Amino acid sequence: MSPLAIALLLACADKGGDDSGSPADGGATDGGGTTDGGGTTDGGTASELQVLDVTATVSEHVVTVVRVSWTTAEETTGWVEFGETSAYGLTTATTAAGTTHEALLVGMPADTEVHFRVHVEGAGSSGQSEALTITTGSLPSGLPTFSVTGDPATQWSYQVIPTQGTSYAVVMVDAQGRIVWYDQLPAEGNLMRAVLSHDRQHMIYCLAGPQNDLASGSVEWVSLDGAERTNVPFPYIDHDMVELPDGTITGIVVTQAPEGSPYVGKTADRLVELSPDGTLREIWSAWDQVDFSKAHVDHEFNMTHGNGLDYDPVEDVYYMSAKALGTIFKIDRATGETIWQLNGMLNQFAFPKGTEIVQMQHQFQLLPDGILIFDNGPQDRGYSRVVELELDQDALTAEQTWEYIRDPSVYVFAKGDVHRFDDGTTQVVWSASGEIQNVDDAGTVHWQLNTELGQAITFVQVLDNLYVR
Amino acid sequence: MSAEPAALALFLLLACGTGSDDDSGATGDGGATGDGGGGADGGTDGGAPTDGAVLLTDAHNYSFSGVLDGPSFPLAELADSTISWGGLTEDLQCHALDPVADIDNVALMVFPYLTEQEVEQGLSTDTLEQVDVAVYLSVEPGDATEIHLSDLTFFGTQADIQTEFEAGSGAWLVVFTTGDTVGVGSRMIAFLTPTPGETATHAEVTDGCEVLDVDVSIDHAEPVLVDEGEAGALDWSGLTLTAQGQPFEPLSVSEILVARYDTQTVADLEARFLDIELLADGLWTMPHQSGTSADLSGLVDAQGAPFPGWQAGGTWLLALRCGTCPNPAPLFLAVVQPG
Repeated sequence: MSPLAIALLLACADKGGDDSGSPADGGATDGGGTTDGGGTTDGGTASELQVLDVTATVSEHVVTVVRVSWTTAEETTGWVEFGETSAYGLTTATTAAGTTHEALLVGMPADTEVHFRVHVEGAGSSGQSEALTITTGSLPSGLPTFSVTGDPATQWSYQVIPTQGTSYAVVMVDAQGRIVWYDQLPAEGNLMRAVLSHDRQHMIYCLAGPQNDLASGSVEWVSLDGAERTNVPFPYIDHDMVELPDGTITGIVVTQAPEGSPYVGKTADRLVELSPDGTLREIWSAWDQVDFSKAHVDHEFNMTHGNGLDYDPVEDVYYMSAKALGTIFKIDRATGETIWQLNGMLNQFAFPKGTEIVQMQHQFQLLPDGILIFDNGPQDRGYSRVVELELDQDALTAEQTWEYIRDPSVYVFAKGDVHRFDDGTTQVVWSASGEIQNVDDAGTVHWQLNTELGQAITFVQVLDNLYVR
Repeated sequence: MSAEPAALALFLLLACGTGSDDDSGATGDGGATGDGGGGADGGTDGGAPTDGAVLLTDAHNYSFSGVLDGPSFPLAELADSTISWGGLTEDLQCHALDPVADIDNVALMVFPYLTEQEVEQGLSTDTLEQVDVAVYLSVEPGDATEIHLSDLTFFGTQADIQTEFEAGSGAWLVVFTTGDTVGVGSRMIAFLTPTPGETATHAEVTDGCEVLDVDVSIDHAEPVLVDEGEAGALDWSGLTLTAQGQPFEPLSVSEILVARYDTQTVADLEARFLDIELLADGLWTMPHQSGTSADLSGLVDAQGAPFPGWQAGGTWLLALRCGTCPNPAPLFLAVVQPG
């Protein structure tokens, strides 16, 4: 089944969702004293359009998520404003035109009274329900816990954080470190990345499977109310994936050397797309595009060790980090050709003399005039850092313009992530060390999240909102 | 190579449950209410106390402090030293241990900015964070009772950690565990100390009886008063501190335990705290999924028989436990008085 079909199916299935449609415990009452007896409200106020049959239910799978449904007598669109106080502050996406509607309230912490109000618009008129409340449930035991210091960041609202260790989970937290969404996973899945989909309907997981059984790799879609999950095999996907705006999933895929290659028995990476119609398409192959005779990686089993992937829809190009080579590739999606190779054994850029080389890097972010790289560094260097390089992609020159080393320093032996915010501050994810920092260009830490002992972080997704506008 | 975590569990005072298979966990189906309608929603949210439940407070809680003093082995710098445990026949709880059959995993953690004493203190008080650990390596020894430092890998990837075994590189902690569940099953600890001028290249880890010293006070706390003959329900939404004085984290509670002792007094149990499960004449447990309350009718014994309810006579203990905490000493433990 294609991911698109899956998505459509899930969208339909969601309507049946986790609630039976029966009146929620306690029922819903309107403040005006009229109750329709069915746990719902005929909540219209003085506006012309009436909002009918408002029902709210906490998801049994994700107890921080609330499903709100309502009807209108005539065709309308609608949305829900909601929040932790009667001032609300959040709004859902607008529903499609119709007479029956529903929306998920996502972004609320556990054990919290959620205030909400439904708004509808029809032909020339509008309406709203009364002000309503519902209380989210208690988080399940065993989820990771975080400590947060500093001022809540203003550059983001939520972060998707996969954790590994004493608990394997994907959680979404707010700036206070409160869990607003969660999914506990089996360790065997070997989660590499989790992202909220572009359409904001699903969380998507890159599951590599056990390292000795990468054939079991897969991509999984989980609806935000946790009621539906669909797993699509994606054999040998490893380390990273990216979702394209049309829902295509592109993965780094570990591949044996072709017959006749001098490297038979070794592996290297390809980029493979899983399109919404379910077809797989190879975009790029290291066996075609990398001259390993110049790379001096004969000792490596995976001679590229791709470990970070980004996509730029403007140029329609991929960027892939290859840890074994120390190189970041820019790849033309349309032709599958390598456009340039930055850093490491296959570097094509000119650096000023004395520049400290980036090594064992993981995630990176292309900037308008450069690139931000999480530089794990070699083990014997003993520390990891974040490096910003100014790039001239025409002249193929690179110059380090900024670096950040934690004080005291840490060495991150696996993963590592970076993100530059619009205001120039930077998020650094010290993955294996279980720490996320928001720092300014002077290295001052403004916000920090730490995990308990035994809890590591993989790659992190930064979100400014949870709904498609 | 995937990012596997650094993790450990020390102080295996009690078997660590990790929750049930029941993932219903549904709470708070509270329905929508109009403003002013309130929000009673099933009683397992973190808000108002559950009706009819026995309220647990900090005044009921025992106090616990543990002092770890693991053996420290001065070893030659940069040497591929050996670590053996063939003589390790009693673990840090002073319980019998088979060095071949019971040690399934040997892990090494390096804390670059902490001393050995600070690591021990942090483990004792559950105050270490992941960022304190720079290196986590492990090996599954099979039937062997000796490894080289070079045998330790990062989940299969060679680490050659001996090349970094130098003075000033922090505290090097070795943890011997039963089972391969992350965070559970630690049986013994030891420190390897890179020492300038030292020529020894072998660490022989033996008896663990002297490693752990616990100080427990149960008797000072108020007993929990319950109705005789009933299982009843608990509500711990009012707890603010663990037995170690750390902030009480509701998410950490993964198991509830009730124990009955026909002859042991509270003083007896304080003195033999590491054996409180072994000493029990009746023992019932139940996993806890979420929230800050529980109906004790879910308690069962090892044979699956349900908890018959509180009975007069004997000594009764009630505990809330954390299955993934580095220190699995109960977060909460109290004497229960049926009446």
